[in-house]
Amino acid sequence: MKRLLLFCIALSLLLTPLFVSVAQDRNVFVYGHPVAFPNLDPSSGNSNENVVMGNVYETLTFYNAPGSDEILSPKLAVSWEASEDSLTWTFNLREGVTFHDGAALNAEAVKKALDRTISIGEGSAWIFWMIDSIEAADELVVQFNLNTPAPLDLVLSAGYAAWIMSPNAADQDNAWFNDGNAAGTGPYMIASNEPGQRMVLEAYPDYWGGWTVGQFDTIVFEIVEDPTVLEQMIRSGDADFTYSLPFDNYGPLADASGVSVVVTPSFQNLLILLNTVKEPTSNKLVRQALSYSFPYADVVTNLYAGMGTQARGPIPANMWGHGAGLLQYSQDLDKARELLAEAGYPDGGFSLVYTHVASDLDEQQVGELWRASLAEIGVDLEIRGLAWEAQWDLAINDPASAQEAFGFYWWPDYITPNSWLTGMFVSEEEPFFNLSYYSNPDFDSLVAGASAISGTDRVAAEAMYVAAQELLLNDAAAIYVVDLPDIHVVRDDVSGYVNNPGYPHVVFFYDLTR
Amino acid sequence: MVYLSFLLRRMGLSVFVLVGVLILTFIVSRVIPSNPAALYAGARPRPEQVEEIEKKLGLDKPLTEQFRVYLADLLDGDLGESYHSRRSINTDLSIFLPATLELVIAAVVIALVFGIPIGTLAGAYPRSPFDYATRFVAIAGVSVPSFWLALIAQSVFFSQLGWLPLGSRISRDATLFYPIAAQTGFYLIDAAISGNWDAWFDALHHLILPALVLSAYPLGVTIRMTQASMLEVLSETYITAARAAGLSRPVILFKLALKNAIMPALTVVGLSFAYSITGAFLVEVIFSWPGVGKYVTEAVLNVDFPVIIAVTLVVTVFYIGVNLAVDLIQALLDPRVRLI
Repeated sequence: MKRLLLFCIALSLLLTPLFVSVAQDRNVFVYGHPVAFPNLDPSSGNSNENVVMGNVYETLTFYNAPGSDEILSPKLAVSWEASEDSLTWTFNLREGVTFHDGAALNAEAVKKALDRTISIGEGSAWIFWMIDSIEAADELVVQFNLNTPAPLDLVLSAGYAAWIMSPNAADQDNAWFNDGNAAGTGPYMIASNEPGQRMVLEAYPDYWGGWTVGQFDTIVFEIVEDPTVLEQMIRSGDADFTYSLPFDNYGPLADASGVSVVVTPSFQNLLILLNTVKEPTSNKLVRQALSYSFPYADVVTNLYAGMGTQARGPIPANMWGHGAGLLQYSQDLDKARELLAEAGYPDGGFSLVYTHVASDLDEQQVGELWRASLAEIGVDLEIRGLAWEAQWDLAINDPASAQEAFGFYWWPDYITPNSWLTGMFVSEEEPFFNLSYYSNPDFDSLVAGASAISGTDRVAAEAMYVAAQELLLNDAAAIYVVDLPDIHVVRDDVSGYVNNPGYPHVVFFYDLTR
Repeated sequence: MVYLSFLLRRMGLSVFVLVGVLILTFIVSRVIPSNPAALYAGARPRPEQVEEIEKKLGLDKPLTEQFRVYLADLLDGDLGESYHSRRSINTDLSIFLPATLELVIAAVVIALVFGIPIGTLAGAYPRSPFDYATRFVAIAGVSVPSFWLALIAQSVFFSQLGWLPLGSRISRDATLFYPIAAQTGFYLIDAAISGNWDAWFDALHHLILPALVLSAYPLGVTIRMTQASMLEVLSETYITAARAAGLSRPVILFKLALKNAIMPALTVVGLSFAYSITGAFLVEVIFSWPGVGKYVTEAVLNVDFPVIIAVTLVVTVFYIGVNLAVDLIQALLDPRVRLI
């Protein structure tokens, strides 16, 4: 026995020195990623693999991080223009760009790539619904013909589905991409893929942007589900970047040496849609009372550790189309009581059903905090956790018997206020995502009008979007709970990191140095 | 003849269990979710997409027809496609199953190599301090939750001593500088075939800790079973006779007694092999081990029914297979079993 034990210890000691890092001659960046990459097909991938896509593929236009002068900047297209009716769009492509497989970027390649995505029709491909046809007008000129006026320059900057892959890759099927093959124009190529474990990207030497000293030549994604392990990795310097740790862990991490916690607003928010069809929430005064009953400050400080911000209307504060002067409800129980009395419910006396995704503890706690406040105005709240599709099914089957309050996260597929306003609030014949069943012809026409001119006159469109939100807030179709933060942990010796919520959790490694 | 009828009876029972699991899993996947097409469509689909998907998945057809198609696909060996990733589950399992098997086999080997001698000695010296110590280890091994043991092991061997890696199947350096050419999916075998010894040692280094943690349960069981049946065998008259004949103690213990004592231990270890496959799920998540456990954990989080069901089926087949094998071996060695 003793000998065996000694043998084991000796073996461990013997093996240890074999594993000192030999990676000194490479400039390696390690991204500790909390989930695997489900679908590496740039046409249909609609999930966390966007952090890979954003570095391997590029889009025609690029959505700039909030705070930039312009909303968009050129990427594979250097310039673009829309016809006056926004129905014909012409994009001039960048010269001298090559794909990782050596093919040249030209109008035919762009057409073939986007046609592939549109014909597969999965994931976020629906963002191209307005495209009638794509034409290669010249070697480097692509023309898009639309059936409805739309801001195509914004659509083509999307962080999902808008990637341009090489013409050879466009001939391949989903399995080819998921074997770890890729051919984009981005600064990095997929070098190896061990599903569920690790992916390695290597710099593409012929990248059109060129390379300078200090940039990372090797990127490693380590897939680690356990947040404790992720935290150990970032603390010890074994990872350079991570996210998705428990809220409580960020405080101590921010004090740790060598690590920064970067908190910036994301484009995702949490709302509670109120049933505008069923009594008593069909009464606008009741919905307003509910809006005044909600404990916004409590949720922001206690649940999100002060890192989120109370939402002001549906559009996040750092996005175009947000109205800084819009009505913002805050908790005022006296006002809520007054409104209830005016609506004919002087002591409350009714009960509501709030549904949320069962596995989402944040949504559940939002419900619990709200229930405590509602109890004070005589309203009872039943909190019901359901599987997502069961929650949704309950809402779309029959509004008259559906839940009164529907907890809902929203984020845009491409960055436009239209995503929230049309997605959740424009009248629908059959309910789909308008789960407050809100219907207001004035609102509908403002949103449609804004959408039509948002490609050509963004300033005017913005004003119309804000006017539409005014109606929405007055009608209290939803409770706007919180604009969620992006919380990223970065090692201090990495410079150049800026979070761009337009591409959630994507680190653009090309911009970084060590 | 008796053996043949026993064999057929056992196989018939196995098929019965398998069919039961098939029906149950089908019901769980098609009847319980209120809207499988919405699950498939993922976050925030468009109405047209959901309709398309209903047609594509055949959800507009009657349930009996859906079950027929499901069975036909299974008989073709096709486990279907993941709702979440659109990837073929067969392809995914061909990557993740070897990783889990490598871990589980290593754990069972550890359990046998350490468990049988320890159990034998504990049985040979009843009520000695060694016996009490092994009892403690065995009971702890069986009853301590594996995820707790995993965290403790990480904190000791990685954080404190720095001897063993925190997790994953192979180091980053191996991936970058001496990658293993995948053939069987078992890293130790693949690295050995290609003579990639740096990677072989690296893979072994990563295997030690999760395999040790996972072996706790089978190790405990093996020790206890060997010890118990050793006690019984040592009281038999032929052992007394051997002692009287002056045979040495090691010969009596390991040659004469162990041969008869090992059967019940092997039976239980066989079953704990199947058990360890599901036991590996938690251990895999904590050690970032890219196996079936990690795969199905993500599937559960994404409500990816086809994957959950495929894994359930595969694990069922393993259980049934191991059970059957254990039954047959037992019957082969001990004719009394065939009569049951």
